[in-house]
Amino acid sequence: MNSRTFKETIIPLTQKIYPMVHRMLGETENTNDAVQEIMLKLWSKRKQLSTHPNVTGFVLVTARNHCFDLLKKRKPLYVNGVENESTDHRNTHNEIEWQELNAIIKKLLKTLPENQRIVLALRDLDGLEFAEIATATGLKSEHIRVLLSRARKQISSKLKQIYSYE
Amino acid sequence: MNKEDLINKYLNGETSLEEEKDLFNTSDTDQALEVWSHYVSKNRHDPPPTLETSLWKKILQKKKQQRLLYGLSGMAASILAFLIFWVTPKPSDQMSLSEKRQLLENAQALFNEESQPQEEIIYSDELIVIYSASR
Repeated sequence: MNSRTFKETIIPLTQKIYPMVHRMLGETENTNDAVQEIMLKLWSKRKQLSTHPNVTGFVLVTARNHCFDLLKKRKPLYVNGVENESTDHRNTHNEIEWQELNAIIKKLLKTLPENQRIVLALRDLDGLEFAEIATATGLKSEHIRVLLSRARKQISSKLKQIYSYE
Repeated sequence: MNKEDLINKYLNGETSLEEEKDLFNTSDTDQALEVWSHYVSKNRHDPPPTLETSLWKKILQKKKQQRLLYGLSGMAASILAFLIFWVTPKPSDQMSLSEKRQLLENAQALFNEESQPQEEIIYSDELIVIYSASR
């Protein structure tokens, strides 16, 4: 793969991997550095990329593995597929509401089985296609659809329960 | 498709990314979905607009460094090869002492064989030996 092809096909995939890397690492500054490291890693593997049948999948797997490597080296911020929240506390009414909501949803997410939680995060937070999630997780698309449906239904039903009391 | 059908489709995991985007951007859906879409929008982080450009600059920088490294390695290898050629002693034109000795012995042997006259005894007794010699 030459420089031009790399620039045209791999660099735009930053849009795909950035949300996932940010969610996993939890900090903007680290995310930019991590995405840069991932791209440099991919650049050094560009010969392999040129013959790979699923380039997007390869990039996603490389990004995910890189995040896991980084997380192994530091104090874990990535807890069961969902990142820890930002610690930017502002005492405005909206901010307090948001913190409450955030805490409730994080608690709900923790009650989901791990594979459901991962699939839900990859789809709704990272905006990945089913085929891309399949490559990143090693699961089949049909199975992913089932896991996603269960996760969404469970979150929806629990949120309805919580907010029906208000 | 009405909103209720779209929500059901979403809950069944059958919506496309575009449909999900539209659904999350719609305000008057059901309450649970509104809460969830608020959470998603707050937790979804898109890359800064300049990130792709800065990534490409870094890659070009690395490419230049690699080229420089290859150039320097090639140069170092050439210098090393030249030094090895220069330092290694060339085989001498002069013969070693043992070779000279061997050659001399061969020459002497040849000379002795050729110079030794062939003798043929014609007559001999206790006092006298008569022979003919020829080269």
